Amino acid sequence: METVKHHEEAHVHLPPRSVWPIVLAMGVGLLPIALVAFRTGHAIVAELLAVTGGAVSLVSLMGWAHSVVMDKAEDVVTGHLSMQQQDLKMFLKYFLLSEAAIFGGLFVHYYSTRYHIQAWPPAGTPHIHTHDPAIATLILMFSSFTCELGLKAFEKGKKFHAKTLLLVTALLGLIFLSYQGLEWGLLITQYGFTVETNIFGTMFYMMTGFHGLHVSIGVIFLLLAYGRLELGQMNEERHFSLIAASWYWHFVDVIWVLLFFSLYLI
Amino acid sequence: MSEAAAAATAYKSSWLNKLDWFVTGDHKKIGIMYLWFAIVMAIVGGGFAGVIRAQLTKPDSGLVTPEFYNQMVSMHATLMIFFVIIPAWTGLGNYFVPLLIGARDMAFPRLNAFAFWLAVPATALMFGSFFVVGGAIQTGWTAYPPLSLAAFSAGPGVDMWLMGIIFIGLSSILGAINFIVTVANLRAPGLRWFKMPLFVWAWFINATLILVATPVLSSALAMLLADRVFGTSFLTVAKGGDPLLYQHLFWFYSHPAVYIMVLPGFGVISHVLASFAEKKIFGYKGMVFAIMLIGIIGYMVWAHHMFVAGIPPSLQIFFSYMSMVIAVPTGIKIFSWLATIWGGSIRFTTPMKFGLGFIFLFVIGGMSGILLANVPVDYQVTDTYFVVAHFHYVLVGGSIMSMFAGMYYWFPKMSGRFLSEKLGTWVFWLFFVGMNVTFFPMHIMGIQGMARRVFTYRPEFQSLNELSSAGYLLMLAAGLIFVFDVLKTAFFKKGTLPADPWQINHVQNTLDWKVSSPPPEYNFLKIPTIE
Ligand SMILES: [Cu+2]
Repeated sequence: METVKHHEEAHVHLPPRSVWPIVLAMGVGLLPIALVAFRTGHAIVAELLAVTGGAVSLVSLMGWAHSVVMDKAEDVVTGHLSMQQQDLKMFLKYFLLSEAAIFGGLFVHYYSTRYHIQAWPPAGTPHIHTHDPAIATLILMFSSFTCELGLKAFEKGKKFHAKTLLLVTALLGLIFLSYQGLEWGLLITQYGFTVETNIFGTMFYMMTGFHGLHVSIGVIFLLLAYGRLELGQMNEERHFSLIAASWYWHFVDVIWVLLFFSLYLI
Repeated sequence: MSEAAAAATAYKSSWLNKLDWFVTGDHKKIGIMYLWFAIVMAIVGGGFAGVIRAQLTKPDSGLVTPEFYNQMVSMHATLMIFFVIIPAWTGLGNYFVPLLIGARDMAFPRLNAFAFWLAVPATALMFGSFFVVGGAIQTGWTAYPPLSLAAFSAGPGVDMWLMGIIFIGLSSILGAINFIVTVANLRAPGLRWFKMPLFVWAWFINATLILVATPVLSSALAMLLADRVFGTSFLTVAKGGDPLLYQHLFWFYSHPAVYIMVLPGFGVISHVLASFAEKKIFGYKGMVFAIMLIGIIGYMVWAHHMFVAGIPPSLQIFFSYMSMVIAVPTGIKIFSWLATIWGGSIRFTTPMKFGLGFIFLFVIGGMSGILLANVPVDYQVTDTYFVVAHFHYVLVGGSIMSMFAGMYYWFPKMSGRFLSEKLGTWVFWLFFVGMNVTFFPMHIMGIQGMARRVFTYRPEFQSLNELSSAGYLLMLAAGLIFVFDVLKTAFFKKGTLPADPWQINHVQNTLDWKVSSPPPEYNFLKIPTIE
C-alpha cells in the first residue's frame, strides 16, 4: 500500500438509522423469558409475554422490511443498487451455510446414535410407512422445479407466469406440510408414538419438525415475493426477495431429500 | 462537495436523530457500544473471579456455599468467554475493519445493530437466572449432560443459560456474516486480498470460524434444552440418547472458540509490533497462511478435551497428533513476530509493552497446551488446576493482553485522546506480574492433583492458593486503573489528535491512520484507491 489516491466523485452514503433492530431484538428477547415463565408455572404471564414478544417481533420485522424497500428506492437513483444486491446474495449464501451447519449437527447426532445403538429402530417404534411420505417428497421436489421456472419466467419478463408459478410452489409447500401434519397425527393418536417414546421418536419429530418450520418460513417468503411482484416492486435489477425465496426453497428441499433418505429409507 | 456540506446532507432531519446510539447503524458507534458492554461485563466477570479466589484462600473458608461457588465458576467462564472476549473483539473489529479496508461502513449496518442488541436479552437471561428457584447454572460452562439434565439440575437456571448462549450465538453468527461480506465486497479499489492488513485477515478467518462452528453449538444446546423442556431423549441414556455426543458437538464449537477468542489478537499484535519496531511485518504471506492453517486444523483437534471421556484409542491418537501439529502455524507466527521486532528501533509504548508481554505469556500457554495434547499427560492432569493454568495463560495472556494492546493502540483513534502512558505502564506491570502470580502456581497445584471446579481442597495446597489470590489483587488493581483511565479520558478530557498520533504510518501505511482522530461519520469523504 504505497500511495492513496482518491476517486474524483464522491457520494456519501451513510448508514441508515433505524429503530427496528433494537425493537426486534427486545421483541425476540421476550420469547425465552416467556418460556421461563411457563416453566416456573406462571402460565398467564408466559402467554402475555409470548404474545407481546411475537407481536413486537412481527411489527418490527415488517417495519424493517418496509424501510429497506424505501431505502432501496432511493438507491436506484444513486447507483448503489447492484452493489447491495451482490452483498445480499452473499449474505444469503452464508446464512444458508450456517443453517446447513445446524442441520449438520442434527444429522451427525442421528447417524452417530443410530450406529452405536443395539437395535434399530429402538423398541416402541411403530412401523413407519414410506408410501405417503414418498409422494410428499415427490411433491416437494416438483415444487423446487416450479419455483425455478417461476424465477426464470420473471427474468424473461413474463410476470404473469412468474406469479402463477410462485403461487403453485407455495401451494405445493402447503400440501407437503399437510401430508406431514397427517402423518404426525396418525403416529401420535394411533400408535402413541411421541418425542418421549424413544430416541427415534425424538429424532424423527425434532428433525422433521425443524424442517417443517423451515418449509413454513419458505412458504411465507414465497408469498411475500408474490406480494411484491403483485405490487410491481420488482424489476430485472432488483428482485432479491424473489431470488432469496427461491434459494431458500431449494435449500429446504435438499435438506428434505436427505431427511427422507435418513429417516424413512435406510 | 465540502466536508461540512457532506456532513450536513448526510442525514435527513428526523426524530430518530434524537435517539442516536439506540438507532445508529454506524459501525464505529456500534463498535464502541460493544467495547463498553465488554468492559462492564469484565468488571462483573472479574468480580466473580474475586469471589472464587476469596473462597479459595483457605481450604474450607466457608465464605460462600458450595452451590454459590459452582454458580460463580460457571458464570465467570460464561461471562468472560461469551460476554467479554468475543464481544470485545467484535467491537474492535466493527470499528477498525471498515476503516482498514477503506469502507464507509459494514455491509449491513442495521443487521450489525440487531446483532449488538441481541446481547441485551442474552445478558438479561444470564443475570436473571441468579434470581429464579435453584439459581444460576452450576454445571460449569460446559453444561455436560447428564449433570445438566432436568434430573440433576432441576430449576429453570439452566434453561435460561442455554437460551442466553443461543441468543449470543445468533448475535455472533449474524455479525460474522456481516464481516465476511464486508471484507469480500467493500474493500477500497486496489486493496487486493494479499494487501489487506493482518487485523482484517485475522477477523475474516475468525468470521468463517464463527459461521461454521457456532450453529453446531446452538444445535447441541437446543437438543439439551429440548431434553429438559419437551422430554425428548437426544442426550438421555435411558431412552437411547447419547450424552457423549453432546461433548463432541460442544467441543466442535468450543475448541475453535479458543481461536475465535485469540485470532483477532494475533492481528492486533502484528500491527502493534510492526508499528513500534518501525518495521514492516516480517513474512506477511506466511502470517496469512498461518492464520488459515490454524483455522483449518482448529477444526480437527476438538476431542483433546475428551481423552478421558471414553473415546476409542485410535481417535485419541489422531486428536493428540493434530493438537501438536497446530503448534506449527502458531510457531510460524511467533517467529515472524520475533523477526519483526529483531533489529527494529523499538519504542516501549504501552501497547508495545502489552504486545511483548503477549508473546511471552502466549508461548507459555502454548507449551502447556502441547503437554496436555499428550494423551498420558492429559490422563494424569485432566480436570486439575494444570488445565486451569493452561487456558488462563492462553486466554488472559493471549486474548486479554492483546486486547489491552489493541485498546491502547487504537484508543487515540477512537476518542481523539491518548490514554495515559504513565498509568498504562502501571496497568501493564501490575497485570503482567499479577497474572503470573495468579496462574503460575496453578501449574504446580495441578500436577500435585488439586481438582478444578471444587470449592475446597486438601490443606497442603493452602500457601500456593494464598499466593494465587494475592496475584488476583494485583490484576484487580490493574483492571481498576485501566477502567478509571478509560472513563477519565473518554469523558473528562477534551481535544482531538492528528490522523497519525503515534507517528507510525510512514512505515505501516494503513488507512486507519489516514483519517482524522476520531474519524468523521462517513470515514472517507472520497473512497481511497490503493496502488
Ligand atoms: Cu481445545
